[in-house]
Amino acid sequence: MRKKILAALLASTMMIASATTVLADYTAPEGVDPSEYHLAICIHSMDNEYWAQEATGAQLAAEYYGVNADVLTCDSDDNKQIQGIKDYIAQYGDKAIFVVDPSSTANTVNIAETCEEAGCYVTILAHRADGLYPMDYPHFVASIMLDDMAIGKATATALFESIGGEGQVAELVGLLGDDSATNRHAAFEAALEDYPDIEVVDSQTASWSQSDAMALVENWIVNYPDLKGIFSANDTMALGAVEALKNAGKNGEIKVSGCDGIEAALNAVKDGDMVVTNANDGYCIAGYGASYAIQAALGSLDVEGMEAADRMFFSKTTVVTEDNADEIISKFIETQDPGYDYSDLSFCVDAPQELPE
Amino acid sequence: MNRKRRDAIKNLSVSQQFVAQAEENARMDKIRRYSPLILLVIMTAIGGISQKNFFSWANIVNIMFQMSIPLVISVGLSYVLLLGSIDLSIEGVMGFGGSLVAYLVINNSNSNNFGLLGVLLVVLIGLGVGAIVGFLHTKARIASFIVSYAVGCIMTGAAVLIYRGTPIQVKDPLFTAISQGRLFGIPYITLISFAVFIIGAIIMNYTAFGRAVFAIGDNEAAAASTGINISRTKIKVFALCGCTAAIAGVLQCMRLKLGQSDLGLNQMFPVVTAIVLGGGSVSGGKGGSLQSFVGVLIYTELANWLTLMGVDTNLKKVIQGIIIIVAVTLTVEHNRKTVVK
Repeated sequence: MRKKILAALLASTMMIASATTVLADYTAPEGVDPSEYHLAICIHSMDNEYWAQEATGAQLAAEYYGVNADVLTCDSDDNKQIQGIKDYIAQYGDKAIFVVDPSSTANTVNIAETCEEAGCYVTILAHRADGLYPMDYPHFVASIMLDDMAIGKATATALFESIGGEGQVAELVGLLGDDSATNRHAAFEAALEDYPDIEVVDSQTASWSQSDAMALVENWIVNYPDLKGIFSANDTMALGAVEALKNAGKNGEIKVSGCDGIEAALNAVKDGDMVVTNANDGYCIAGYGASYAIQAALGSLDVEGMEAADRMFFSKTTVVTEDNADEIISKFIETQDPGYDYSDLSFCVDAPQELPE
Repeated sequence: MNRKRRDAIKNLSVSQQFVAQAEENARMDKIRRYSPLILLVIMTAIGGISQKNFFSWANIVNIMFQMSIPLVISVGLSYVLLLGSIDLSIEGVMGFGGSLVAYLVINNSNSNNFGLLGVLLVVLIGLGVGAIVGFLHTKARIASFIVSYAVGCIMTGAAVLIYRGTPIQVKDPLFTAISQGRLFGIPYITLISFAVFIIGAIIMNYTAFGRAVFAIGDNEAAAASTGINISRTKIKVFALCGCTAAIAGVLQCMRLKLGQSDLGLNQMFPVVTAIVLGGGSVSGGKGGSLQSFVGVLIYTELANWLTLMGVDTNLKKVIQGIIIIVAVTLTVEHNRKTVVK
């Protein structure tokens, strides 16, 4: 009996102890001074909301761990990005840590190899070249991607549900030949399979452009008086559709879905002009991406001991509808801090990527 | 010219040949002058016959809506093309103008409320930027496509600096009123674009400046010898083009309610194509306001018709390209002695 009580007491103190370690500020392993480490946040540029979110998220993570952080932009230029990484390594040696949204898919191999040679830990976001696996590189901690298929399916399904699962729908496709545009179109088609009563009257590219989308939707309104929904592969085009519908007095009546979660689209969802968008959540993917690399560099994450599925996965995102629009706007836009606990690395994992055989 | 005609000319004396050639040229000129109009009639007829909605009032309003911004761009660009130059800064100036005006009127990111004063400021800045392009082109002797490209880059960058990544949402009731307003069923934005067009046409056809532009485009050396100030005229032309690009940016912002550099994206080349469709030339000296108007209308009708047809989106680009090539082949002059570059 006494033993039992003791065991229960012990267990409860352990639970409290583990709970407090989660909530407390990060403590580095002994002999490691986080302030000696430098995190390079490599992104395309700051002139896009999503990339700006990535930078903020990674900065929040760096703050949490007590490491320094710098944002390196590359304007989608492969050479500029690699050069930036090399310069950073030259400056900080193996105290450099990287979280990279690569300039292109092809450049991911260069990035992984450059960091491996220098012995610097790196997480690569959103793109990964075919055949490039973190498991082949001791310092390539993780590949974290966005699941375009799942995201596209979720927004399409929400759109179809909002019109009662039947009727005429038109699709605004992204830039022809673009990866995301292709994936989101495939996702739209996949979602359609579950809705046999939905008729796709037209599917046209607006090349990610708000202006092109607006002109297309103006023409659709005339040509398809029974149109009930518009699926858009991104928010910018969806907002073009909304403006066309507003001019025709049909906003809210014809449902519009978007994707990405830019501020104007979140507001449109809140106002009922759009029915759904997906917040791709740069804070999550880049903040946790940074956390993986930082923990590896500081020695609190044993990279070699990780399973393949823990190093290659899709990041969590949030489907935004009228119900949670206010909450997302306040977290992502107003405070610019979603309040993530960056010590809990598994939080950002949505599903594993397809693993090599 | 067919073979029979050519053989007939060969048998004449030199002076007779010259007269025959001149008559022949005049005849071809006449055909060419009217071919864009004929093309427009054909395009309209095909649209009307193949699509029942083509002539519906709602679709006519759409076409008027969709042609307004290209029309405004074409007003300034027509002058530049008449000179035989090009202005690649248009998209940058449009993006900047749209972003700045969104920043200046009632919006979601600051407490500005400059209203029409903001619009005026943006248009004046466009004018100034155009003048700088013209100045660098004529005084620093940099090719127009290089200097205008560089200035366009600067303006795109400056546009992004205004809103720092998060496009500004316009909340000004004035903008909503203009973009949704109609007079006798015609959108205000279209009426504004027509007004800009008419002013541009009057300047081009009834002022010394307009005649100087034609003269320079036709033969710069000859124009200079008649006492036309080439540099000053060119600077004015680029200033005018910057001004109309800024107006186009403001109108685009009124339409879309979002201030971002993308407002100008892919707006220029369709207008160049439209002007050529209307009978203008990228090597200068040919074209004019009315030709540009016809060209813009043909181009807009084509895009509208292809959407109504519901052509597969991949095929649409192909068809659009082929139709443009065919149309341009029918309308442009082929027997000019200058080399086509």
